[in-house]
Amino acid sequence: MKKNIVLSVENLHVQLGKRMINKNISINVKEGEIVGIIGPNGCGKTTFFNAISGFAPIDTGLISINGEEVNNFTPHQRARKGLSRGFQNVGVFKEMTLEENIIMAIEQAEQLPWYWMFSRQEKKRVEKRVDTILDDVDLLSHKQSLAGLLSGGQLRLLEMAKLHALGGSLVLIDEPTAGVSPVLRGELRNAIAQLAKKHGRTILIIEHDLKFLFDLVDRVVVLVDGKKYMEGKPKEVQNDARLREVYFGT
Amino acid sequence: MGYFYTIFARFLASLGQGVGGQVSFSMAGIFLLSLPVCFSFSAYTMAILHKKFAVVLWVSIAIALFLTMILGALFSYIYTKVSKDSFTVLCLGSILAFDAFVRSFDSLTGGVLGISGILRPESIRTLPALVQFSFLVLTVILVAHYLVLKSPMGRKIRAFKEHPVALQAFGVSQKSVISFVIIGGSLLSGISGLLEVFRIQFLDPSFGGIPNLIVLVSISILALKPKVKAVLLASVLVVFLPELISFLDFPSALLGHLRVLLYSVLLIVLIYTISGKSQFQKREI
Repeated sequence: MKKNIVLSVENLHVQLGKRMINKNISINVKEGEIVGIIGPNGCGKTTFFNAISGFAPIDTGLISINGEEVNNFTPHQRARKGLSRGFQNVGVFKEMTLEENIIMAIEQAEQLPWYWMFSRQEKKRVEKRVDTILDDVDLLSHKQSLAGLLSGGQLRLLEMAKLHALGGSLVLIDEPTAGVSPVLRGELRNAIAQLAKKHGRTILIIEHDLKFLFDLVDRVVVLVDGKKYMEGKPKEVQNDARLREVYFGT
Repeated sequence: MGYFYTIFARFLASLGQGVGGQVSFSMAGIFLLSLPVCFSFSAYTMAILHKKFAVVLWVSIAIALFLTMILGALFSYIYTKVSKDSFTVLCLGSILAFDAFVRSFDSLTGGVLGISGILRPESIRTLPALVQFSFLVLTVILVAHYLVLKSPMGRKIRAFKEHPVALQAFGVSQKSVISFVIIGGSLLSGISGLLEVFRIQFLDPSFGGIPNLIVLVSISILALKPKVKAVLLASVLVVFLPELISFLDFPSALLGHLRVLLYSVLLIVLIYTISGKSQFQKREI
């Protein structure tokens, strides 16, 4: 079955200050794919995500989400077009409870009216949904806790739960394993895999833990010095000699 | 009895402005120091329209509130264009600028002599009637405030303070939150200004200004938690506590300064308490 292209990036150039950070990057991502973005520090991975999500201005190039050009869309407009974004410094609200964080995501995803909390039926339905989503990431017992009291790994899991609740066809995840213990990495991997396989989301992940990434993704894009160096299946990328020299120094 | 009606009327006016302050300062993290300008602006606009241009009183009130919202929209636009620090300074400057405007254009505003004999609407001509009306208005405001706190907008406002970038990634426009907070706060200050000017029935450049700002900031900081109860208690503390000084044997010329000193001490104690109890600091260690 032919899959739709969810994200199309053509000849992307992003300049910040006097420095060209992303140089002529083109990539197409199909529905349901999990694509890994790797590269040395400072090669422009997060800037690439910022450009896709509207947080960095584009010099030249074209970005389309679900066939619609989004170059002139603000970040919140792109989010409404089906783009969900995770952040390096974790994009959850630490002064709210876990429940409130997920409720916010559900409210946005379903465009609930302002008075929904005063409808008993609606409140029950949303509460049930919150419980299911938090249970999926093993955080149900912390539902009423402030997010700021969670550990680093638990915050990442909460972010996955939030991305799930937000819906959207395209999910960008930035270094999900940063500060996460090996035990929780397994849960994180499962959460991400579930988003794609069970809920049909298309996912791009920036990650430095190559073992974590290569077990998860369908395809890898390598950025070096702001340019797309290569693209291919995890095994192909792993065996590339020049990449081993650039990335691992071997 | 007149004294208690007066204090209660002052409390209700402060509470209305305090709600706007709580939402902007404590919940959204927007230092909307221009609220005293909106407080004075609506009062002066109503008085000028009614007394100088013979506009019907209720129409003057409606126009004054509408123009106050326009003023709020202007501040909202400015907030999106300048840095937070610049906005704070600009708001402080607007208080001084408005004071200078009022003093200079005396043909319109009465200058330093002000505008006297401001009549209350027919239905609230007496002080008890004004207090009842103010109570009704504040009940509506507090119910609306409760609904906002529980609604998606309440969460968006709190999220805006903490992580505005993540809020955008949720699909929420920052501008919509900023506009809601600043225009809403300005309107509430405008309503409070009208209630207060109807109580004292006189306007001069000392109306609103820095003393009003001190009261507003005190309530906003004391009402740190996003709850109706918090702003109610904060307003009670800020308005009624200094009244206890009146019953002490101090010269009347000192009473005003003692109030300001009391607010300053309250703020220092509160800020010290908050910084000591920060639970997230413990986590980071």
